[in-house]
Amino acid sequence: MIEFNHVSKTYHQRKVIDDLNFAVKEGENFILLGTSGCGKTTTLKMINRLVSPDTGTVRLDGEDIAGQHVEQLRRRIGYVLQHSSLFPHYTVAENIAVVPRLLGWAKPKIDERSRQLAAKLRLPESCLPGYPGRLSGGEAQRVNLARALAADPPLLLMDEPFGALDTITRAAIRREFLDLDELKAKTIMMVTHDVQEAFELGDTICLMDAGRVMQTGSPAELLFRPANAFVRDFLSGAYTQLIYTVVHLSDLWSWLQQDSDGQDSGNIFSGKNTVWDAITAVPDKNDRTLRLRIRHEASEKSVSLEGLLTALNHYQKNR
Amino acid sequence: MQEQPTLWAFMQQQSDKLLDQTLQHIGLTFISLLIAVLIGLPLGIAIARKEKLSGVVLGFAGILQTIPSIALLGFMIPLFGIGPKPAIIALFLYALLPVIRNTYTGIRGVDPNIREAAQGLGMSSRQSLFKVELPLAMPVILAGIRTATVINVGVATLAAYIAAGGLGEFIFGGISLNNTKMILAGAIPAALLALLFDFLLSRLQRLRLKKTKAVVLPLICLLTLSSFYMLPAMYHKGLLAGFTPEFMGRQDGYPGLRQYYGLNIRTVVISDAVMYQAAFEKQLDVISGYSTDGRIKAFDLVTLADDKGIFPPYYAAPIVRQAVLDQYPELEGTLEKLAGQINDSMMTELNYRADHEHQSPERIAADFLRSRGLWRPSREGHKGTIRIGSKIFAEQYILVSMYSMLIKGYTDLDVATKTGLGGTKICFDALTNGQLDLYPEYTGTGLLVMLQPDAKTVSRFTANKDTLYHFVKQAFQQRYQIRWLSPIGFNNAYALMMRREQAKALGISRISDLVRNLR
Repeated sequence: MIEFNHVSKTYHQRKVIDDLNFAVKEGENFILLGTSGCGKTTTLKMINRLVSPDTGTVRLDGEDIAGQHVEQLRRRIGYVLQHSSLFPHYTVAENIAVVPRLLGWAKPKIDERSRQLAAKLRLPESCLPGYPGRLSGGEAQRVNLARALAADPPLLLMDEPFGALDTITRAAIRREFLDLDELKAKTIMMVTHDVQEAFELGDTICLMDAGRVMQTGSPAELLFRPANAFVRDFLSGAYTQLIYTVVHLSDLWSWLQQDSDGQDSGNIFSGKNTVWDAITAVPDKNDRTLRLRIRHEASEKSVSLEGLLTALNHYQKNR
Repeated sequence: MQEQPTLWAFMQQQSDKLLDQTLQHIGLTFISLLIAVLIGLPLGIAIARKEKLSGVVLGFAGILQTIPSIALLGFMIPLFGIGPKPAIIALFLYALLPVIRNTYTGIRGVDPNIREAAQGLGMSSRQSLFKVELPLAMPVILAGIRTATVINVGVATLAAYIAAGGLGEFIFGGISLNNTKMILAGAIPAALLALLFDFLLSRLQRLRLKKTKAVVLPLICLLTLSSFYMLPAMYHKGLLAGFTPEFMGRQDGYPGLRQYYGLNIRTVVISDAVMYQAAFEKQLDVISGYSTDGRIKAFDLVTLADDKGIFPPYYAAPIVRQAVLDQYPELEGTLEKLAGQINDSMMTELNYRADHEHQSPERIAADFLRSRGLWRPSREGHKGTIRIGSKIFAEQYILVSMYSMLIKGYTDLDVATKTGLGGTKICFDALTNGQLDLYPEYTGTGLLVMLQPDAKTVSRFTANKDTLYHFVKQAFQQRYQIRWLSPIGFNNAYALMMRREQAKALGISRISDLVRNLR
């Protein structure tokens, strides 16, 4: 869907983007990861032409975006900024309606869409006539997302969308975010500096440093087959935790032992779930009696948290 | 002294005038403000977008702001004449900086994230400006307009100097008449206007002006308020008079004209420095002047006869300390050589040569004395020194030159002149304190300024120049031991003047004719 071909950009004699090449597939969650100043935000802004490349081309659906009408291009692309980008002089409803209005939608259609989005994003309808100043950080970010989604664009660009939130809210919103149907069909390109976030949300991660791509690949590829020392060092700090997010329960199936006694969890996990999904679902990590029900290829096992971690150990030894 | 009414009574008595002035004041303030907004707002927006220009534009507007307001008005006169036009332009220039600067600051102050969001969502540069940046900058812009309004209400008081009206008319009239109530009658409403507009604009600022559409409302208010300036002009038609602030307030000025002649004419207040020229340029039809002023001739004006005799006579005569006359008996006869020598038109001619042709007073004096056969070369005597003073206008300089030539030519006395003394009070105090020996004075001034009798006494003397002269002469001799010598002949009284052709066309030669013409 998106293609970068030999894209470079120089600011004040400093090359901020250096020969960038990558492709984003339709429906993919593509994460641009890196430290601040690595050029990831600049890369993102090249897609909606807030920044234009000095050399190289950016193609959207096969067409060079440089030749397109810039406002119309932007109206087709959802854009979520980090924080405080809601228009403070517009009500929440008016904020959500910005792009549909620019596109000239009829008022009933806009109203219906706003209510629908508010419901999907679990925004109380009562907050729609109010001003953004009264919203909590989490609510504001949901409105921000609703504004980007309002005209149902196939592509969503997100620049550190959860950056301004505290850790707890952030984890909760991320979880909701993964579950939103509204987003499932969309191509999402997101910028973050948070490795955990990148690994949780990304189908493909593009790790950047000093304007260059260090490695593009799935989370597991980056973690287990780092292309160079930079990738390895970048991920090593959070290595243990990242494992939980890249290893799926199906990977552990052969090492998982049925626990004979204990209480079964309410929800059933599938092989597609990650170890992290299973662990976070256990409310009290000290409760040894709880068993997680895991179903994989028509069979089911009930495993304690301890048993799950033991299986993960075996998996790593044998990998 | 005349009894003065209380401030409230004064304001009630003058309520018509006060209303006119207040409306004019509001009009002046807001017309200029409107222009400043119409020009400053787009300019502020332009420099917020093109950062490079901001230094030049803000610097230029800043320099305008540093020009003292009275000087700025002064610069306007040669360019735009007198009246509302130059006043509005000067006020507009003053209002410009706060409007431009606050527009610039307000737009630059919009959170860059929000500007980027507007852009990123697909708003055009224009949509972003009108839907996002301007509404968000509005509180700051309104603060600038508020500052400009308060500045303008204050500076607009100066507009009275150049016949643009407003509350400054009372203020300047009050200052030149030393009438505190009159000053307050102008100053208090001006201060109240400033407070009122400041308050109203602060309310406007607090309203959520979220849509640019809402800006239209204040603009309509501005337009309405601007049009106030036209109101007084709409219900007064006909000839326009320009009077000095002093004339507007003196009993022997406009109030007297109203009382005795029933004169009711549209008036503006103007400083006497530009008054004659304004009449010449047809910006004014009737002005108050001094009957021997040289500019009457220069600008081809005629004085209207005071057929009811309300202007007290201002016959000029030298006034001398009795002690000096006693010490040098030859002095009196010498000074009396000028008695009855110069009539009104001759004095006007002499003043014209000084005011308009810029000849030196000495030359004018010598020429005149020669033509009368009075001139003699100096005897270079050293018997003693006579100190002669003069006030600060051409007529006095010429008279002093004549006296000093006469004294040097006919006696063995020497002369020291002290010219350009700031006013009647200074000359007179110097004379009574023995620092001056003589100077030319006017009978009317002697009566009204030095003797200050009650209103009844004044009216008794306005009719007859001789009774006034004798009254003044006697009173000075008794009170101050100062002698009034014989009058020189001319009467430099207040007078109403018009352009010669207009007066002729309308058949006006007396004040009564003017009154009849206005009915």
